[in-house]
Amino acid sequence: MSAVNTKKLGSAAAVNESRKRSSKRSFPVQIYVGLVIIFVTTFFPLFSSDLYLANAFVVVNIFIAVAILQNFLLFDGGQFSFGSGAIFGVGAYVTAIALNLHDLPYFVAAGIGTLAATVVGGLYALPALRVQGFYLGFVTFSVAMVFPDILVMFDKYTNGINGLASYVTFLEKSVIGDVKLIALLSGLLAVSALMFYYYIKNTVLGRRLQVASESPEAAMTLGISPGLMRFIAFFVMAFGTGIAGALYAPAIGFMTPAAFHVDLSILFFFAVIVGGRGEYLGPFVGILVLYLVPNVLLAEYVDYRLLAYGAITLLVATLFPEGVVGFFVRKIKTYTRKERDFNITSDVILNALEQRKHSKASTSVVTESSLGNVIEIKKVSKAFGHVKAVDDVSFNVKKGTVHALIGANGSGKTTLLNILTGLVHPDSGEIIINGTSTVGMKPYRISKLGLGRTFQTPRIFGAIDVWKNLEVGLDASPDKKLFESTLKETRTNLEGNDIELVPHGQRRLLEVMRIVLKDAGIIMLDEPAAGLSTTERREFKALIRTLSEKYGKTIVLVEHDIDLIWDVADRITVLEAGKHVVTDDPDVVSRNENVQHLFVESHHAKG
Amino acid sequence: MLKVKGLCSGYGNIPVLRDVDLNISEGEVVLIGGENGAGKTTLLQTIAGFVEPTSGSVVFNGVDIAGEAPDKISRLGLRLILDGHRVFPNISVYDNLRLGAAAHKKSSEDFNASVKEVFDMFPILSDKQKDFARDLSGGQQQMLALGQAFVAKPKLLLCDEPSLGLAQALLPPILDFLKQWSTKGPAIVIVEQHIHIAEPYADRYLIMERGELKNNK
Repeated sequence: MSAVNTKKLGSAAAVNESRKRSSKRSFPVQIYVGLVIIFVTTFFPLFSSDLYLANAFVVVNIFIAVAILQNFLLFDGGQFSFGSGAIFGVGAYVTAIALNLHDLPYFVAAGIGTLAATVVGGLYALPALRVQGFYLGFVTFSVAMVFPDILVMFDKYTNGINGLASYVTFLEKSVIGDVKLIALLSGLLAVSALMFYYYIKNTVLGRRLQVASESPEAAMTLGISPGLMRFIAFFVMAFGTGIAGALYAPAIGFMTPAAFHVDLSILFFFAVIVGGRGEYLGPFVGILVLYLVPNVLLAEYVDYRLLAYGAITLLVATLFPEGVVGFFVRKIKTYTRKERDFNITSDVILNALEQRKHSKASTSVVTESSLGNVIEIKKVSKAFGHVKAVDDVSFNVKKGTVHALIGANGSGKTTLLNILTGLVHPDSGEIIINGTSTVGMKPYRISKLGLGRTFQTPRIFGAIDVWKNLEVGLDASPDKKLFESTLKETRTNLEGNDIELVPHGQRRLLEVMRIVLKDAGIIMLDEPAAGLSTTERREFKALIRTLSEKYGKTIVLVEHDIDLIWDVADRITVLEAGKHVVTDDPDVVSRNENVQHLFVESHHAKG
Repeated sequence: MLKVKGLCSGYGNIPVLRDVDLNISEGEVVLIGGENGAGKTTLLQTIAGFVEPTSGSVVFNGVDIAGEAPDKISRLGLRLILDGHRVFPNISVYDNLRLGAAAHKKSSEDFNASVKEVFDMFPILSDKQKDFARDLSGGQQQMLALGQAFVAKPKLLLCDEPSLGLAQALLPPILDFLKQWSTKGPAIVIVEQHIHIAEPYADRYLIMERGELKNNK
């Protein structure tokens, strides 16, 4: 069916399967390289007598851990923070204060330091709920700017510019050869950060973070609260960065405000950019280049550190726009990529639905009103400035029907969908979905009433593979386990495949399938057939009918393809300039004088 | 006017276009159909310079443009309307039209006349000419993208799925508009899925199949 020579999904050759299975079991190469780097830097004294470099590597491993968390926050959480240095500083300084001024044992002090850093991270998350992108970047940047001054200002607690000793004797003991305990701990911290970053990507939380970061609207319609995701991302980052800070205090042995100047925050951010966003090895390369070059190789010019960061970043950005690691990964990908050997077809999902139907009744709760309506729209209005996008619209959608919404461009169809899904709040009127009045409810709560939707431009997430793009729907399903077992083969075929390989028509299908897997009882589709070929259109029509007739799904459809609507719709609502014109059966609607202009050139014109 | 010979292009080591030949003369309306993923969009993007060809030649009015930068190709009078309503969201509808014509030195009378034609075609754009383009609905943005290309008066216009996001009833008048315009000289290439609506307006109908362009016989 597709132009590319593809095997049907679910019948891939054994060779193909074994290739993917084997790659599934092992870690990515980048993880191994990372572990080797940590091993060599941690056990450096076993290979060399260079003590200066050995001490530098202790700091390098701590910094790598911080940069990995910065990478997580930026790439997976989608949050611009230029203030990791301040959180790190709070962790380090509070640890030092507890050690030095209160004589607490090291691990207690470290715990308090970590806790303090986590609290500050929580404070960073507050503006993130209101502002995003570079606005958020500047808020966090300003915290990093004033942090050393705050340390000086509160000299009663911090000892001001005189600084604090934060030396811990037992951490300096050599445990293996000349390798000190502190070196082992910092190596362990880097390993933990790396493994955390690897595993989080394969969890429900990791996927939800990605979705919320790439498209907050899509996330909300999948029942995910983007605000909560941002908070979690900051919380996790701050907790880990706090631990790193608590280890940094004894690693350096003496804390002064000058150690936490804003360039520390810049170092962590640039390390991610230089290394490559989202790559496991990115923070390694970034820190090794940005920290070691100015501080070790060019140690006598250490005053020009900031200049060195800038120069290196500029150079890297010019030569490797995706970061050093990102650049090579991309190159390798481009030249080793095979032609697409998978195909996304709806039968897989329908099979899964079928199997589940046999094992138990659907759990998707649909509460109908006495008249069988799953959606009741009562006198809903919404204006944008002087434009009345939706003007006093009332109609009902019956359970299990395919209900089409048609009208000229700008007649308010998409706005109405946005109101139903909660992305836009109506100025007045009432909406009842599955028996619950939804006006004022957050979109991710409305989604949990059993609602799912697709968008005019398919929301396909580039940072996760083809399978995970489906799995984010599955994550929101109450029947996840059951579906998972029926989709094993699909998973094997789709896992690890780059989303870039999926052509347009299949992207639309993928989005619909995601909603079906979410187990939504009400499926809203915004121009699902736009850009589909004749073949794909035919298959799509069949899919919609099957979903409605066989599995009782209610489908609300905004579409311009009148012929397609005629073939699938049970009811049609016509909107014009935001006003409701008619809701009725297709035959009745087609005879309505007021809507004839919509049918020009259609086979169903009855004018 | 346009002579494409042995054109190949692709992404990395995956070939998309395989040895495509295409000649287009003045005033011609050429329709290209085919499955998604066959390479229709890649063909338009390769001709317009957004995708680098791996081999073959593209000669436009006697100039070899294969591998040239898209802005240079556009200044030679070859215009591509990308799919997915690419307008400038933060300026007004009218300013979008002005920008459309900016790179092509036209007298203000010419410009006003073409704007009038666009407004006659899409009255809604006239009503909303002072609104920000971001406030238009998806379909209206598509109209604006078409208008933007029209006021630039290109010699060759490549349209990638003009119907995307538009009410179906709007497609015939748009095609008619393009057809009328082509009688004054420019050639137009249209990639479209709604073949049954578009075919009557085209002089030629070609099919893209796995990166190869074929006559529809």
